Amino acid sequence: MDRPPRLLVVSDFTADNLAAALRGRSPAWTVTTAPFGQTHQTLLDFSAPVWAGAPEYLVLWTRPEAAFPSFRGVTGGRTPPRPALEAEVDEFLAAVARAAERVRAVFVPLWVSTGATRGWGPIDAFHDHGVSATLDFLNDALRRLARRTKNIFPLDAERWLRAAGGDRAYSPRGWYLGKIPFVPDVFKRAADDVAEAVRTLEVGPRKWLIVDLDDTLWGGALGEVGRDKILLGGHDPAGEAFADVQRELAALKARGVLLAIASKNDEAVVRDAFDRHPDMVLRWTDFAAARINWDDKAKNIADLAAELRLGLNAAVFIDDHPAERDRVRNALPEVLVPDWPADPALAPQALRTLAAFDAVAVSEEDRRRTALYAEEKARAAAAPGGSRDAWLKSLGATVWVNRLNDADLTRAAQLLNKTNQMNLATRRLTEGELRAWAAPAHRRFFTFRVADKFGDAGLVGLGSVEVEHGKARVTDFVLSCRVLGRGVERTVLSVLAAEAKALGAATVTATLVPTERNRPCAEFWERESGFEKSPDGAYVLDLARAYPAPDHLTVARASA
Amino acid sequence: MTDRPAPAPSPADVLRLVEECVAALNELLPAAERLAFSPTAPLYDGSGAMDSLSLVNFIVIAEGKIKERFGVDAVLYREHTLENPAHPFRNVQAFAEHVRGAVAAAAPPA
Repeated sequence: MDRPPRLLVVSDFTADNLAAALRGRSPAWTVTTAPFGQTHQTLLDFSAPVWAGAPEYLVLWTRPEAAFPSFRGVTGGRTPPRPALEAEVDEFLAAVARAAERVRAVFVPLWVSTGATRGWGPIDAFHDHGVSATLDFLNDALRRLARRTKNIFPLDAERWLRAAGGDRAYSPRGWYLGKIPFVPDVFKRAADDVAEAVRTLEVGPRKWLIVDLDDTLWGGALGEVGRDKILLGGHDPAGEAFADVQRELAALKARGVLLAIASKNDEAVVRDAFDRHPDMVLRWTDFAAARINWDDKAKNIADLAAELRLGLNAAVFIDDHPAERDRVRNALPEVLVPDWPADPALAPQALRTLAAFDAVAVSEEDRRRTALYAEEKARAAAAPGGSRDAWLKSLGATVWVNRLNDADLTRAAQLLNKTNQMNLATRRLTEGELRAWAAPAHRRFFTFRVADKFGDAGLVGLGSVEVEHGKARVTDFVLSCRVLGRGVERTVLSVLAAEAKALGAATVTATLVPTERNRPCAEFWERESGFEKSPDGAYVLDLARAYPAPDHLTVARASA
Repeated sequence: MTDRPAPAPSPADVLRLVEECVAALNELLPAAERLAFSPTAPLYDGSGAMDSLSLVNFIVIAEGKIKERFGVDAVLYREHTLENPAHPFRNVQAFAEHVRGAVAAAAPPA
């Protein structure tokens, strides 16, 4: 986060506790609260003083009875006409959607009853006059809006209430004394979720998880007790819990989190256990990389990061042993090392509630991430001893070039926001902002997919160019580290150069915005781009010169 | 389970509870506004130690902890509680005495 985020909290109750908890968690953030009870006015009047600070994130937390007058009919024991409620929902959500156009993201806690209630009892969940049925109706409408807009995120307020004690999470005394409907713990949990969501939007989620093995994935020391005596599955309570830990890890892998191993063990023994233990849920091939030896774990984790070309600040390390956790925390402070329960029964839940892998979108590349790394390993292993050119040619790679479209928008925004090393400008945009930026006729935003004989790497590159007054400027040049060094870099530039020329430009320039992490990008532009460096530091290409893509690649362009 | 009421909390029990309440409130406050804890430490006394929002939070926290610890629904604030300058929220010691009284009043008859 280059600049601390600015948040605006809008609520129809006293939400100062939420603002305070957010400030407490992230003191550098600017958190403003709209005046009490001014929800509709704030959403409808963007000239109101609270908008003057140009907030980037809006937290909109309302009570159903305040947001929708007809809801009071439900709690008042009457059945409101559904069309009236629908009209109120449409109107309110239209205002939310308009607000969403002004900020990077809107967080809307799902509507919950703001006091303990049984509603109508057994029929409450399905009758139109039921409190819970009506809440479902409201929340479904919000979820539909969220699916359409991409930057509205409904948050699970019910979970905050459950965690804060169920009915004890409501505070009738707080309500009547100060219009605070919940106990302070609810606001702390809400702040945790909002803060994690902002962090995910700002810097992206953690991408990979390194696990210890003994007493983390199974019970007992494998090297001591042997494959058949470790605690895993079966009818043993701890064994069942360890199997569930593995199931949770498999679920994270399916969501796109890369798994790796750092364990003090014998690799052959470990591989045998993964291959032959009957209750093993994970297999050896589920792990993108492993360091199984008696070396320092911090060193092993640093090695794994280098092998996988992933940042340490994208890593999470799980180990049952407090001393190992402490060592990694101290040696590699960027790695997130959560406390880990000594009781295996608590471990599956610890994984399920870990906020580090929160996602703001899911793409096909996320789901295939481990397979992509396996393909990369095969590619590297197949590198011939001869020339690099011969090897590149042997890959038979094709680069597909597309103008940005809605189908690729989620992945393109992810790539733009998560890529650090090969990123010219390190711009961070939401899907909506990206779509809007790319729309004008003088701009072109392309996505690049790469496949070769080992597999499809997916959407791995972005390039954009804008032309004004006959001058073209490369705005974005972004490549996943998965395809670096294979000529895709110059392919992207060749496409941008051709486009700039077609739009009437005589030259195209690119200005690197240096960051702590885009040194590889700087080196590419300096040494390999073929652009001339001008005195002001910009890289310039005279478009009278030919700038072809490398001939070992096939470039395929979709029709516009 | 029996219907016998729990014994009245000792002054030390109550003081410990008040300390926990102050700590819980402090979690909601920026570092510069956190309250000190000692028998004479001010709470809501007009000196600015605690504002009205913090007072509401403090009452909610304390009533919740009393319910949790002593099993009674104590009411710590009523309409005229703050009208007397020697009101029970002025400092830690006064508040602790107020808590003991409120717990005793809320306890079912023996």
